[in-house]
Amino acid sequence: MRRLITLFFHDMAQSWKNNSLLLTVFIPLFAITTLWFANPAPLAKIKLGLINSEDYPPVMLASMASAKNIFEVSRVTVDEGVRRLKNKQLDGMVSGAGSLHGLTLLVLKKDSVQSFAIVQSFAALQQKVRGLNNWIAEVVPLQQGEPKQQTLPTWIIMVVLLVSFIILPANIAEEKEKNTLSGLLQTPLYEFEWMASKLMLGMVLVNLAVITLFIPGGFRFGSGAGYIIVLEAGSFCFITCGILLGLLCRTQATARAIGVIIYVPLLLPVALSDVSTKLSAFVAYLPSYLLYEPIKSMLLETGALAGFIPQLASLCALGIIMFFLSHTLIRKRWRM
Amino acid sequence: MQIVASNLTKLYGENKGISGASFSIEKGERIAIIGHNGAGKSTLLKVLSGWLRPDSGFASVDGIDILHRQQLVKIVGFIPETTNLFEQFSVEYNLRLFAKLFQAPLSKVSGVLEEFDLGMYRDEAVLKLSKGLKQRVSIGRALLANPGVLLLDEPSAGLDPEMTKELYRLLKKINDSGKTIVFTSHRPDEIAALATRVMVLRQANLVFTGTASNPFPPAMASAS
Repeated sequence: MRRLITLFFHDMAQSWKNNSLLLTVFIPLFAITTLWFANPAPLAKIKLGLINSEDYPPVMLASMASAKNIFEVSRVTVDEGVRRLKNKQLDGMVSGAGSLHGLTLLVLKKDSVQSFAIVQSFAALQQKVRGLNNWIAEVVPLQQGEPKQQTLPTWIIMVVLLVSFIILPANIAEEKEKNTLSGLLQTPLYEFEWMASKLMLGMVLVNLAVITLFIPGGFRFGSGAGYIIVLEAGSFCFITCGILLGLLCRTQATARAIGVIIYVPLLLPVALSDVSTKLSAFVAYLPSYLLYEPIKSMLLETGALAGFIPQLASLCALGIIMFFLSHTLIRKRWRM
Repeated sequence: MQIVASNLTKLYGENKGISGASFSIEKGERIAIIGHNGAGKSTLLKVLSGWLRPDSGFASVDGIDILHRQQLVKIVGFIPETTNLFEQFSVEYNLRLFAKLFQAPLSKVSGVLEEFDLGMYRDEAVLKLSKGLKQRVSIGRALLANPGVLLLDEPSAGLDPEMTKELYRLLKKINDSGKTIVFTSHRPDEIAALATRVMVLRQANLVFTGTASNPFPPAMASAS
C-alpha cells in the first residue's frame, strides 16, 4: 500500500511536470469561457422590423402597439432590415403585406429560439384579437435547463474520453519509450500496483476536470448523486481501456495518434445524437453511450440510477476485462 | 555459488536471445559477457534481473529463483545501457523515490549522494547531467537496496576515457565490498581492466567461459 501511494504521488508529480494536469484543467475552463460568451441572453422583448414601404393590416399594427411589453417595433428599409438582422439588432422582419398568401417572417435562422418566440407571440396575439384561447397554453420541456446546462453531458463525456484516450495512454507510452517503466519494475513493485496507480491518476484527473466544469461553470448538479456513481464507473471503464492502449503502443506519438482515432468516433456521434435520429439509432452500440445516456438522463431529466443498472454493469464489466488484459500484457512484458 | 543457471533459454527468433545457457558465478567475481550484436548478452542480463521470464531452464541468485521477481530485485541491481531515470526530476528526487519503492531507509540517499560524489548535483534535473553522471546516479539507485549482485549492460557506452576510468574505479570499489559484478562489453580494454572471468555468447549459445587473459582465446576474438 505504501508503494502504491508513493507511486501515485509520483504519477501526480509527473503529470504536473509534463503538463497533463494543466491540460486537464485548461480544457474545461476553456469550454466554460466559450459557453459563457455563447449563451444567449434571455429574450426580454422581441425586436421586430416592419418595412417602411409596406401597408400592414391596421388590426395587426394596433394589436402589436397594444403589446408593447412583448414587441419593440421599428420601421426599416429592406436593406437596413437585413443588415440589422445580421447584426442581431433585430430578431425578425415582417414583409409581404400585399401578398395573398399572408405575411413572411424573415429571420436569421429558422430553428432558433428567437424565431420560435416570434411565431408563438404572433399566434397568441392573433388568437386574442379573435377572442380565442391558444390550443397550447404552455410549453414544458422534458429536458430542464438553459442551453448551457444541456451541453453538460457532452462536456463530461469529452473530459472522460480525453483523459482516458489522449492523456493517459501518452503518459504510459512515454514511460515505456524512456524505459522508466522497466526501472520501476526493477523494484519490488507489483505490476498490479503500477496499474492501480495509473488508474488512480486517471480517476483523479477525470474528477478534477469534472469539478472544474461544475464549479466555475455554475452548472446545476442535477437530481441526486446517482450520476456520480455512473461517472466513476465510466471513468474506470475508459481509463482501463486507455491503460491497455498505452501498453500496446511503443511510442508517445503512436499512442496519441491511435488515441485520437478512438476518441473522435466515441465522442462525436454521441454528442450529436440529440440532433439526428439516424445517429440516435447508431450510438446505442457505442460504449461511450453507456455513460452518456444515464448521465444525460440524470442531469437533464428526472432519471434515477435504478433505471440504468444494465449500463452500469456493462461499464464495470468492460473495465474489469480491460484491467485483466492490461495486467496480462504487462506481466508478459509484451511489446516492451 | 551465487548465480546458477541451467539450460536457460529465452529466444525472440531462431537465433536471437539465449539458448540453453548453463553456468555458475561465484560471489565477488567480475564477469564480462561478450559477443557480437544480437548474440543475447542483454537478454541474458534481463533474464537474470527478472525483467524477462525465460522460455525454459532454471536460474537462481543466492538460492532465489529468478521467476520470483519481487524477491530477486532486492538482491540483484540492474543498470541498463540507456539510463532509465526520471529525467525531468532531480537526482535526489529519483533516489528518494526508489528508496521508498525499495522500502530502504531514506538516510541511504544521503549516503549514496556522498559516496558517488553527487552531492553538488542533488537538486539538478537528471536531464541536465552528463552521461557519466547519469550512469553514476543509476548505479547509486541500484545500490539503494544493497544488492549482492550488480548487472551492467554496456556500462561504458558513450563515456569519454576520463569518465570510463572513473567508472572502472567505482565498479572495482563496489566489487571490493563483496558484491558480484556482471557486465556486457564489446571492448577488449574494458574486459582486461575489469573482468576476472569472461563468458562468450555466439548466436544465442554460450560458447566459452574462462579467465580473461591476453591474448584472448580464439572463441572470444571471433565473437567480439
